[in-house]
Amino acid sequence: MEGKQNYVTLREASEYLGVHPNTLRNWEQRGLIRLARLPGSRYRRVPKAEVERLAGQMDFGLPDPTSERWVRDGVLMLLPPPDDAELLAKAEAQAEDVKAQLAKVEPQGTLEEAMIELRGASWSS
Amino acid sequence: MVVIDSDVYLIELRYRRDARRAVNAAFLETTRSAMPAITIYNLMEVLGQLSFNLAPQTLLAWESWLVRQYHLTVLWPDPGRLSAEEHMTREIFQRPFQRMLTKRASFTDALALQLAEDTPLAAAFITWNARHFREKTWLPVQTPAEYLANRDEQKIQRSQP
Repeated sequence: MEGKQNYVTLREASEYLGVHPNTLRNWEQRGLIRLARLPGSRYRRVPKAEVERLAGQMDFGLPDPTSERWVRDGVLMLLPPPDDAELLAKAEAQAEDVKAQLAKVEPQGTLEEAMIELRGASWSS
Repeated sequence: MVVIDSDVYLIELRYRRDARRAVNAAFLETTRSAMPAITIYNLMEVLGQLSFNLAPQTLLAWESWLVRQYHLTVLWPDPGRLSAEEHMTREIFQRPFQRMLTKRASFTDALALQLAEDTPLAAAFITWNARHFREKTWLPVQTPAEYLANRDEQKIQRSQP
């Protein structure tokens, strides 16, 4: 595990980035930032690498954390829904069901064959 | 943000005997917290491929088992102030055709790359056919394996005093 020196507090990160600590908590809910809880502490910490990554992204402006949509320079970004443990567990179960349904009808060729059909090019990079 | 090609999701969901499956799954897990994105064109390509073998009610729930499960941001072209006709002409004819002329690209490749290039936060385009795409875009192109290797290398560099 990374050492304590690789983390800053929420307040330090928010001051560096120029946003309210609650905004960082909100971004965590939306999955836009990864926070951590260090052993022996009940407080969340922000990995320095995440602060650096966000600082780079903020040159372009981050999405409004209360919005599902973010339009920027001719691109509409539909952000993923906020993390919800119950709904995420359901999504994971559904994904496994999709894989199981698809596994029942194998074999049906390879990815290489599918991509040649889709894109007209060999997929063996 | 990394923009991810259809093949990564097809290996994850459909071609599970593919030799790259374990690396592919590790990549998807790793990028979950790095704002993974997919263009609407690639999303439709994935759903189209899976539609042959999935029940309609399963396909209908794609926002759950695809978008929520993999924490995907979906990229769409935004018309801005263009009329619908101007926007459609530009997005599905002029720009892709220009790339076809200059880079020899398939229609989907051209559509997906132009949208990925337009996306301000896009740091890389991830595909298993990186060699094919490197000639067609100025965006950095990596395979999932290369992405993971680069990430590990950066971690090592950061941990060094």
